[in-house]
Amino acid sequence: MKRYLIFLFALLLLLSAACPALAGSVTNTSVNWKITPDGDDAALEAVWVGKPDDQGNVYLPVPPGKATWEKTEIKDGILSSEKPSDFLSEGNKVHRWQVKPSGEETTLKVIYKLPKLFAPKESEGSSEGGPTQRGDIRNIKFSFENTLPNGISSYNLTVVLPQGYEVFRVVSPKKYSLTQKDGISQLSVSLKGKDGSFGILPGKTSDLEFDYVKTGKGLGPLWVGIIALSAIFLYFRRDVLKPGAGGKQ
Amino acid sequence: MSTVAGTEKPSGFIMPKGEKTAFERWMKYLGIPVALAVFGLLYSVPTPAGLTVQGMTATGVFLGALVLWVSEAIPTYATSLLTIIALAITGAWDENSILGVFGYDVIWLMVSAFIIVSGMEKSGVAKRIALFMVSRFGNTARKALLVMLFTNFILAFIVPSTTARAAVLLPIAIVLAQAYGAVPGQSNFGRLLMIQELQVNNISTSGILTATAPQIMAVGFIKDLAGVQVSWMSWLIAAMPVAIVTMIISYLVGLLLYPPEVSAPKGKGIADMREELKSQGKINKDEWKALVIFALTIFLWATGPYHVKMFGINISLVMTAVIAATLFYLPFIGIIDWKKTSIPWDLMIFSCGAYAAGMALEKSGAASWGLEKIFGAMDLTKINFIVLFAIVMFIASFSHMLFTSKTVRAVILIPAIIGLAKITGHNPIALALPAAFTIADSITLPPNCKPNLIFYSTGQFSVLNQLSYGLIVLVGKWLVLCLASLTWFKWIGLY
Repeated sequence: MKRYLIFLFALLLLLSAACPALAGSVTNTSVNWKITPDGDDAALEAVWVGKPDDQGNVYLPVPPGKATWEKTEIKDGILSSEKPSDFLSEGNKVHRWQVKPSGEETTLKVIYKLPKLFAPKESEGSSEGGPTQRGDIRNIKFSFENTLPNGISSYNLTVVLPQGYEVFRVVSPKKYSLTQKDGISQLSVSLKGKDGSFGILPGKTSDLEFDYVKTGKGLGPLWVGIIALSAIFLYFRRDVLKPGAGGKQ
Repeated sequence: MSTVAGTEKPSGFIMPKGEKTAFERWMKYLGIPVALAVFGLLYSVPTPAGLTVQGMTATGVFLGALVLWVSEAIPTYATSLLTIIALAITGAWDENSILGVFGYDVIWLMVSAFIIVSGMEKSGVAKRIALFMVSRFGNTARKALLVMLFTNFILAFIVPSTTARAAVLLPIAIVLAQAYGAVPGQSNFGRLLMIQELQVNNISTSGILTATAPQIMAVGFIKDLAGVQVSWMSWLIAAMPVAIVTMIISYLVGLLLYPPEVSAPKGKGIADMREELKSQGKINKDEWKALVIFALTIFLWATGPYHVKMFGINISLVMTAVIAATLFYLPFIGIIDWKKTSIPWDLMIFSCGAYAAGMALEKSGAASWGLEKIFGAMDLTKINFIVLFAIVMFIASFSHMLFTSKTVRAVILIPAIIGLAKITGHNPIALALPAAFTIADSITLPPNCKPNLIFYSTGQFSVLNQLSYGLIVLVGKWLVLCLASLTWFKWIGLY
């Protein structure tokens, strides 16, 4: 038991020594994530703006899913290594970069690959066939968890949809922005703190879930149906026009 | 129009029983193609920026259904069933939510209200009340209408819920319509009685701050965002004159649009009615039972805010109705069984479809997007106050056509209008408070609010009747509000 307590104490000391950068880390940061399609995959561009901590460290939450790091660029500074190192922040894995000089505001741009994000998925059905729904709807759920020990003052996530697709519905959050640029649909979520507060507090999550569909699918058959039905009703209901035909319902 | 008691003189508005005008026949003939085209167009055109495909589809389904309801190309309940199918298949709303509308409190309230109506009718007390009201106060159709309007207005001070008031008055309105021989769908008196009841229900609400919760919410926004506390009395002083003038407009417009085809109770003179009332003798046991249940229901509805203090539990509006309905079936207490219950299920189906279409419009974000677009499309910073006031009031009032919830409208409208007033340099209270007076303007379509559905369920009027009458009255109210902004609101020191 004594040995175990000594081991725990030693571990505690080790961890506290390893985390001084995070403990006194930056507070005024903004994180902008942009997801753009690349075939079935997607590229996630994470832009971090802020001041590195005293040791020149910059931390970013690891993107959800099977995201893999691709490259890192920096503006106003030098990176000791382009590739991030894994770092444990209160049990959560975060990515860390070392920037020189420390203490100066800088912009870090990191590119991740999100495999199969836009790949068509099998529609979920049950043994009873499931509820009535369109079969062409695709769903994306993207969760950003602030695993950093400090709050993020401003967080923005933009998802650019593949050409020819548009947002069918947004499940969450309730407040979002839908725009179109050169005929391409974009969905954005923005969380900004007011009066010095944080947009996302440590440990909090911002979820984005939406469905999207191919634009203008099935319009031909729809109009054929509309015209045919209209013609049928117009022809077979001519008697409705005769005085005395069809009483009040 | 000269009339003899119990007889009618045809006017331009009165048709032989069941006969449609040429315009109505053409609407019925073209209704289906037009509805299909409206849906097809909205489904096909590119989705505007800011709106989801679901929102666009919900708008298409809603407008298509509206064409069918107004044109009556197919029965309204069939349109509702088609609406339910279209919403699910196109994904405008999810199936579980659509089917869940049948379990909404408004549907339960309507079912319960019709059980109460059946109990009241079976006991004979409803007939006694109608005979008493008609022989005492309503010996002419116009007076009968006025008595009902006045009762509705007074109830607004006592029962703090538009829906509860509608449910209270429904049985009385039904027997009154029967006393005047109003056949559902064929009688101008029936149309007037029911539409005016729903209009007065909503309009009188706008005069009393506590008559509906969204108005209290609006006052909260005004306090938090504009820093002005609006008291119950200051609301009453500012809003009640507008409400009273609008109710007078509603009454007069109604008489012009749908002149009652009867001047006195059908086939009976007032003397006969008095005689019949006398022949009913003393109130019998069943009538007492029905009266006690009805009185208990009104008591529970009127004392809603104090339930917890009185009983330790809160009994909701709908649960009160279910309790009352249940009492009518219980041994020793009750007086009816299921076979003697008359529930218009076709109108329940209509209500479900109409409500689902309205909810889809709201849940998909299409309603709020539409409102934002309307506000955003105009550069309101460059116009003078009265023009700005007129535009804002018009949007605030008529936006009810997009929403089924007054609360959602209050949440979207009032903060936006306060923001607009600040940007344009006007006193926020001068725009936001009068806009709050329009929150209860939900009188044009059945799914706009629960009282509309309750009175529509009598089958006395069509969607087109309600729409045309409601639009005229709301334009009248809008003019009254504009006039008040130049006079009354200034005189009382609102701004």
